[in-house]
Amino acid sequence: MEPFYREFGELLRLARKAKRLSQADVALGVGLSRTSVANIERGRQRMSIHLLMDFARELDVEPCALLPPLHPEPEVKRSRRLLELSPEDQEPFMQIARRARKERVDAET
Amino acid sequence: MPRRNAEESAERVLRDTGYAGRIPTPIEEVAESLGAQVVRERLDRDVSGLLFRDDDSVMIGVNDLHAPRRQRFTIGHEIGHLDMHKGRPLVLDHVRINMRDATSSTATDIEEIEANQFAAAILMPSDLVIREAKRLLADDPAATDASIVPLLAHGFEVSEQAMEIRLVNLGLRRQI
Repeated sequence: MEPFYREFGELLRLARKAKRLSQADVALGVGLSRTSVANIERGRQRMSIHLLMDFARELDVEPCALLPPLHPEPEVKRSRRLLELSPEDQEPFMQIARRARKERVDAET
Repeated sequence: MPRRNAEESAERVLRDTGYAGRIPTPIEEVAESLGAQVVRERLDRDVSGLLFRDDDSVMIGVNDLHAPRRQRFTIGHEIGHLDMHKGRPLVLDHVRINMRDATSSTATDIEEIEANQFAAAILMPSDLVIREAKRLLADDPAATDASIVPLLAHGFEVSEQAMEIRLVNLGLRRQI
């Protein structure tokens, strides 16, 4: 299963708990079995897009609140010295340094 | 405490560089006023940006593969590290595949949370967002706190998601 369904399910579960509803409450509202709601929350069941609207209506949230972000928050690696980073993490610094040097040369010529 | 620190730092940087009151925030010019060179390159998809500083130069690297509004947020984030987190010569920021509330619930790294808050505050200064939100709501009787999100996001050149979170944090939009 794609990670999307797991992320959607997690957001659905958080929104449901925020409204203090049980899986059975929500299932009744959208016309699914409780098992289906449980499976969707675990990311184990694909669903049709109209159900997104049904869930949003049932939980009184905007549909976008149940969708994961396109641009997730950043994660970080940091170090005092370039050589302390793994070769893989050194590469972006080298790329940026090369680009900066090229821009400087281009600007001078 | 961290949020306050980030808000105050962002306001101070805007004031000191002479870019306060501008919509959208000319984030690249702000970086350059602080002596940082902004360099764009097509980096690994997972890398959003990086900060590099030594005795005589500061470089902010931005992944050119990412959307322009995402790049603006990245530059704001790196300026946050530059301004608030002294003595960190190298910072490499990765994209994390995670949930909407990742920063508040799972991120333990206070500096990352601060840098994100700084980016939000410098790109969406509270006084300007409040002023614009009130103006939009007054101009159109049918406007709601939800309907103005895309308009504000467009004006401030940030993602709708970033604006949405900012409005909730400023108390202008109910928690969704």
